[in-house]
Amino acid sequence: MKYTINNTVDYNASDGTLFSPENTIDTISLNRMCNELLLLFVTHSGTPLSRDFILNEIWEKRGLSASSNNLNNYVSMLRKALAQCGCSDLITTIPKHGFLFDAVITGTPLPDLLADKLSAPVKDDAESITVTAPPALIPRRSKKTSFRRMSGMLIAVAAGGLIAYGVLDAYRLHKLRSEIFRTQECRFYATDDLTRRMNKTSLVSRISSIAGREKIDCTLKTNVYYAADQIRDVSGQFNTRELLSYCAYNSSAPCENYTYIRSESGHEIQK
Amino acid sequence: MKFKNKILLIGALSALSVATVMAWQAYPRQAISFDCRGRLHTDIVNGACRSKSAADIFISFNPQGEGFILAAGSWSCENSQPVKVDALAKFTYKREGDFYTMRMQRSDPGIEALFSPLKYKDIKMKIIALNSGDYRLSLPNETLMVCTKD
Repeated sequence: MKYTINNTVDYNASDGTLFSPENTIDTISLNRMCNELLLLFVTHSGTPLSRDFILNEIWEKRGLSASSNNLNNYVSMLRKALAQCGCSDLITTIPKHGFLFDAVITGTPLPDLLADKLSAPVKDDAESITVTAPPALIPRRSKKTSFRRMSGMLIAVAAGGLIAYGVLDAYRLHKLRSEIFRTQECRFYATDDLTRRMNKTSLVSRISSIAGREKIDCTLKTNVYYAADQIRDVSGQFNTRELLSYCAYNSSAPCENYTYIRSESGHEIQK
Repeated sequence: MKFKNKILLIGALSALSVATVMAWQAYPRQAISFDCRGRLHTDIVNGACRSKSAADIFISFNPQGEGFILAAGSWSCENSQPVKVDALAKFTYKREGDFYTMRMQRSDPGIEALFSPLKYKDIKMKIIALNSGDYRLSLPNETLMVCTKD
């Protein structure tokens, strides 16, 4: 359907073109959204249209999402196109409401055409747009897809970070403490290299001896750390220092530390 | 984006995460906020007497480079009356390599009987997490105790 706006501009709603022989020699092609916006304005010329109404008619009824900013962008593009055709003040912004398109329209507006246009299936903008659409107005599906992709990436990165942290922490803990044995709910660890190098049987025997003496309770989950050091002095005596730390697992109860320092002749801890 | 490129990108980002975590872990922290509590029982046979002690030890580091050690408990020589001690030692600290160098500012008398490193003016202490709540406190030549983060 063709319209004439203010007797100067030929508007072809079928292909979205504007032609004004007095102002421009070329036909101006509108993008699809601008064309439908202008068609809505033309069919409601002289009637103030609210933003909600316009958004609903052009975008939401077809499952697309748009914001007031998108609408402003398209109105701005439309104003420029009309200005090129010598009709610069046809669209008036009504603050806090919407827009008023006020022009003399000749030609018969066909509601069917509008209805057809508005209910047309959604096509890719690439097929119908001749003027580049603002990037903010991309069909919702595309936005969702890129959001999903971005989310997937972020989740992968976060998972990578967490796994890396877990692996590094496990490696660090393995270097710090080595499990020697378990009794009931107690796990016994050696916490330094000197202790780790000791004979395991002797180590288990020493730890069991101290644990028995101090009546270590192994009915609840507990980590028990053991460290021992022995230095032989010039007189041939062994100065032994042992530390057994009893820490309730996952509890804020303070660790119990048992330190034994003794000087003995001929009682070397078996290495 | 092709599948291979995606894998590459995810791999690169994961590697970046690993590097970040490693850098974060390796980054030396000059000042810490750390409070830790433990009970220390000692049995010393090779001293002047066979001494035993039992004490609650609380160690606190604040981010301003200061801290304190609180020791409350008792000690005794064999066949003698126990001596009760409830004492505080204040210190300043700074990080030097893997250790925190602590310089004692003021110590109440008798505190070293419960926590022997306090007989020194300067202490070099290493703090290492054994799990999410337990920390090993050690000097360069001995493990002092394991405490629980407060």
